[in-house]
Amino acid sequence: MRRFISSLFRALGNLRQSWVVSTITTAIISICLFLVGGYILMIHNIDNIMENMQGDVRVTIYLRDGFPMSDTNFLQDRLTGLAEVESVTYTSKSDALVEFRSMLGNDEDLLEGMDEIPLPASLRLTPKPEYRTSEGIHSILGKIGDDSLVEDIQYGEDWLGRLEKVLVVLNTGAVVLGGILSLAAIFIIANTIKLTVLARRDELEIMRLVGATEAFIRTPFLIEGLIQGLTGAIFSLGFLVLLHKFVVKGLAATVFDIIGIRSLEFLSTNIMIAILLSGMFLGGIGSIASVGRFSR
Amino acid sequence: MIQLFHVSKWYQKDVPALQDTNILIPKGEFVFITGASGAGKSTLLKLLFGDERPTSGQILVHGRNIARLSKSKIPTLRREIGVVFQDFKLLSSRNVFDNVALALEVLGMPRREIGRRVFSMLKRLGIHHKMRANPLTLSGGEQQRVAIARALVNEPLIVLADEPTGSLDQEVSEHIMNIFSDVNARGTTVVVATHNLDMVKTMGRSPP
Ligand SMILES: Nc1ncnc2c1ncn2[C@@H]1O[C@H](COP(=O)(O)OP(=O)(O)O)[C@@H](O)[C@H]1O
Ligand SMILES: [Mg+2]
Repeated sequence: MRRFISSLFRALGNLRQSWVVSTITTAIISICLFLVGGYILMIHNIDNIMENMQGDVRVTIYLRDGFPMSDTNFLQDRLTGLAEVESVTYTSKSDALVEFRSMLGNDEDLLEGMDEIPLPASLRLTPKPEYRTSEGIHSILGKIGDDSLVEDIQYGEDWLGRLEKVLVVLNTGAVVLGGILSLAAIFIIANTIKLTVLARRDELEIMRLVGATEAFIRTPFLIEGLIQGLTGAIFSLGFLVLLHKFVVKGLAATVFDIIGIRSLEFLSTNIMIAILLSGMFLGGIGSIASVGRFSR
Repeated sequence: MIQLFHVSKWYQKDVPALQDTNILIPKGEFVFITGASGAGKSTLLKLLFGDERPTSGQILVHGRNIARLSKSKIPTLRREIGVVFQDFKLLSSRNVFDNVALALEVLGMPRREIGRRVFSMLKRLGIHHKMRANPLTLSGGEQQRVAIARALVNEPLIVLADEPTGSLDQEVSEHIMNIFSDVNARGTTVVVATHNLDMVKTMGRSPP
């Protein structure tokens, strides 16, 4: 413990002595984590919006006129019983009309003078969340099968498929970008810390001459790296908070209405902890790599 | 006791720096190693404190074979050996006191104990009044005394000096050599490498 405290003091002394390089290292870690964190933040919110939209995935089954209500009830019961289905609601012709009128809102007078509006009755089927994919929808369609009661079936097949592709690309992008940025960060950080090590090469040589162990020599560097990494990570989180506030303010409430969410979320606690740990990991690896090169 | 058995050191393929060298230095001895520049004096000293490894042969220091010493055992060896160089190798980023203290810091010694030992060593060598100075502001002779203080402060059994007076004038050189005699008189084995045969003649070998 006393040894750790003495290493800590030596690390702090070194940080003060070479504060320029330390600041640069910290800034680089901060920028790298800000980029990765910013991307995760973006993906996280896009994911969120997408999920919101997927919540809207419904299959509307329009029904032919002239069949008895019992047939409709029978079909509704059969569909409700399917494993993929969460709920099925019935919308009668008059319900559909009321809905249509309210959708028109102030323009309701457009309907003035029209006696009968030929809106069909329908069953609205909501799949269980795990079946709100184009694959899930197709399996449901197969089970609806040919029923003379069914006039037409509508669902957002087009945008659903595209949505899924976009999600895959975005998530792959997050992994790839995160990987590339982390490698770049380790490389840059190792080289920056190498500058500090180079500047202190005489000191390392003499420490070895008077019998310092490698642990004694390296521990302060490791602690320095961890401190720089943690500081950089804290700064990156700070900047991400600012970015988040700025974007939320910039997007008007109407934009949120249109995309169907209330506001943009910030990173989850787990991700924030992961960013702090990544900072310490980057700083630690960077310093170990650069001190290692000067040992013999 | 230091013993070399058939030690050779080849840095490159064509010429050896040392070839089939056999040496025995008893404990408590004061020994000069002389020879022209390039004769292999520095190489011999480097082998003794584990800075280089012999290409072949065995080296015993206090009965321990250091020819194939693992990297992790080198610090233990160096704590038993003080080394002094021609160019002093003092750190300009630390003052005189802290330069000497470094040799005790690496042992994990408590600060109070370090302070006591460093001060008494600086006093013994007559440079305690300069302990807060930056080593670069000292004269060559003073810098070498600081370096000797650093080599001696952890009470090593052996002191190795590579051309310790090479950059100092006659009078100062004699003072430095007297310090080594004094160190030797207290029981420490001293090995000095020099190309200056005159110095060896003046020092002479005192009759037993
Ligand atoms: N690190 C090295 N790499 C290659 N050759 C070296 C190295 N150190 C010393 N030598 C060579 O080994 C020989 C002995 O050198 P050295 O031990 O420094 O002699 P001295 O100290 O007696 O002047 C010289 O020929 C020198 O060029
Ligand atoms: Mg030499």
